[in-house]
Parts: sequence; C-alpha cells; structure tokens
Amino acid sequence: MDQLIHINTSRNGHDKLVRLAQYSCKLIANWKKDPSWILQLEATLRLSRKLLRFGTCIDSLYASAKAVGEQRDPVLRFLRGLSKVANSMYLFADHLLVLHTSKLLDIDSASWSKTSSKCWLYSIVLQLVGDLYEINKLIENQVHNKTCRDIPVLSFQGVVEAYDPVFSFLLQEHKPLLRSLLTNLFNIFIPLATLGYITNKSLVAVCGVTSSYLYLIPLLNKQIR
Amino acid sequence: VKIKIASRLLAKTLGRDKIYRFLQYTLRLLQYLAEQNGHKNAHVRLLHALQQVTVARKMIRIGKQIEFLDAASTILQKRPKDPYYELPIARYAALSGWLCLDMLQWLHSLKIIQLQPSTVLSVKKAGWRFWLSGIVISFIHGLLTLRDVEARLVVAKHSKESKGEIKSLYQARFKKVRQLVADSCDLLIPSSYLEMIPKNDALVGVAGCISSALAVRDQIQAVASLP
Repeated sequence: MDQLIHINTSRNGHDKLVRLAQYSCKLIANWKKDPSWILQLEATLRLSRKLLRFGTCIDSLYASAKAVGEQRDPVLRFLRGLSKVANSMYLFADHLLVLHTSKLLDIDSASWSKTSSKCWLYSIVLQLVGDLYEINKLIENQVHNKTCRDIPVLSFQGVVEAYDPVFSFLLQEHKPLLRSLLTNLFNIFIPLATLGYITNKSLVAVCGVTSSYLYLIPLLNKQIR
Repeated sequence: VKIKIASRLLAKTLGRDKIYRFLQYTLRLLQYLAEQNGHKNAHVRLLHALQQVTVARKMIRIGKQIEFLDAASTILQKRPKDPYYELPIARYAALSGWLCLDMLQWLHSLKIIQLQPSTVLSVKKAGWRFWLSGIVISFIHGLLTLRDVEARLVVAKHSKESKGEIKSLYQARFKKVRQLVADSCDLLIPSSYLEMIPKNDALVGVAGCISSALAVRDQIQAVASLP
C-alpha cells in the first residue's frame, strides 16, 4: 500500500496506474455483452490522462537535448534524440486535441489525431531501432571480450547461462534495456491500431496492459529498494 | 532554472492538482462573468472547459483519501511534539470522508453504481459538510499554532535570542498567517454550496483563485528548495 501511495504522488506513476486501468477496461469491454459503462469509464480515464500530461511536450523536448548530450555513440545520439523530438511532437498534437475537446480551440481534430498517432509511431520505431542497435553492440562486445562470470549453476540464471550465455548476460547486466525493448514491442501495436492497420481490439488491449505493467516494474522496484 | 522548477512542480501530482485547481476556479469566475455580460458562446466554451478540468482533478485525486488516512495514522503512531496533533488527524479524516463521497458521486455519474436522486443530493451535501469540517479544523489548528508562535516570538525578543532564531519565528508566523488566509478563502466555497452564505459563483471563483494561488506558491517554494 505504501508503494502504491508513493507511486501515486508522482505524475508519471499516477499516469502509469491510470494507463493500466484504462487498457484493463478496454480488455474487459471486449468480453462484456453490455460494455457501455466500461467504455465510458475507459473514455474518462483516457481524457484524464490527456489532461494530466498537458504541458509535457516541453519536458520531452528538454529530454531530447539531454539524450543527445548523454550518449557518446553518434548513432544512438541521433536515434534517442530524434525519438524524443517525435514524442514531443506527438504530445504537442495531443495537447491541441485536448484544447479542441475543451472547446477552447477549433482545429481539424481528425487530421491532428492522425498526426499525433503517426508521431507516436515514429517515436516508438526510433526507440526500438535504438534498443536493437544497443543490444547488438553489447553482444558484439561480450563475444569479443568473453568475460567469465561467476553464476551459481543451480539457479534460473545458471540455466539461462547454460542455454544462451549472451541472453543471460543481457538479462543480468542490462535489464532496463531489455525491458525498454519489450515495452516498445508491445506499445507499437497501439498507434498501429489507431491508424487502422490493426483491427483486433483484444490484442491492442493486451499489449496496452502488458506495456503499462512493464512501465510500473521499475517504479515498484525503486520502492522495494 | 525556471524551466527546471516548473518541470519539478508539474512532475508531482500535488503540484499539478494545485495548478488545475487555480485554473478551475479561474474558469468558474470567467464563465460567471461571461454569463452576466451576455456572452453566451464564451460562457458555453468556458463551462465545457471547466467540466473537463473538474474531471481531470477528480482523476488526480483518486487514492488521495488513502494518503490522508495513511498520514493520519502516521501522526497517531509518531505522536509529534505539536500539542494539538489530534486536530490534523481529525482534518485528514474529514477530508478523506469528503473524497470518498466525491468518488461515490463520480461512480454514479459513470453509471457504475446506481443511486436514487435524493441519495445523490444527500451524498453531495454530506461531502460538502466533511470538506467544510476539514477546513474549519485546519483554521482552528492554524489559530492555535499562530498563538504559540506569537508567544515564542515575544519571549525570544525579551530574552534577546539570536537574530537567526527571531527571523525563523517571523517566517513561521508569516507561513501560519498565509495558511489562515487560504483557509478563510476555502471556507467560503463549501459554505456557498451548502447555502450557509448567499450562493455566488463570483465569490467562489475569487476565493478559490486566491487559495489556489497561495497553494501553488507554497508548492513552488517547496520544489525550488530541493537539491
């Protein structure tokens, strides 16, 4: 309970909890005969998330400058920076849609909604490419250096090490990178569904729930530590 | 530096809630003025925006009642030096009750639970009463602690305490007075809804704006002091 309270006090944690609830509602609505109240709840949660993240496009733009500064590898610098810029464009389009929904601004909502989804898709694709590039580099370094690691044989890690030492190395040393890869793999289905390339609503809902849970894991682990 | 502070403020749910509260009461005031001056189009737009911000604040407050109860139980366990520690506990309990009833109304509006119209009105009024009780308790606590700070200040001046000690007591007094001003403004809002004072959207809007602006200022100061 203390963990949930602490996660709820930060905007990011609160957003991820509401995101989990939103996609869970979507998933349940696919199974229910009369999903009207669940869909209304899902719409309310979706709107509240949009209002909650109002203004974060500036944060994302600031983060892109930081991402470019932190990375040494020029390829990663390009990919991470461009991904954050695409994310800030997605958020900017999203903010305009919020102002339109609140009747404070008149815009072509269909066109801006499409733009927002496209920018989000580009951001996820760039992040995925960045993650795969980084994993490839790490594997090359690991194969080249072949450092011997002290892992107990009779453990989950030991079994994984016996079958695939490279995957074991990634699992032990670079969990955040693997988690980012998985999250982006699940997230990519959501903008594809919004743009009409995927029509399976249950698949999108499952991907949404899974990626929301993957977002919450590091926040929960921070509390455990 | 300003972007950093704004970023930190908006990264906290409490900071965002205070800003949205300020926006909510500003919109309430503006929509009242638009209605009074016959600007129907502006009045409708502002009313719609106000409803959106109200929904957003309800979502931000989800789980807040548990936080309040947790804070109350922490005070009960730790028994701080504050001689009036029972008052914050009562305040947290009252605010938690208000938020629980507010959530009931929200679940009814989403048709997740079905309540009779008379029950909805009773729940609303009970919620406002809890809210008013919480503010009154906070006001009383503020008055009592201000009296203690004033007494300590008089003693400090007479016993020729260090300038630093006297300065910190003046700062504590200023904080208490500011809190009392915010509570006085907040008292008008549920009192207006319960028709204890004549119902006036302009008064509610102005009072809400002042107390929200003070709250945002407190949050900015708290965030700016972080390393």
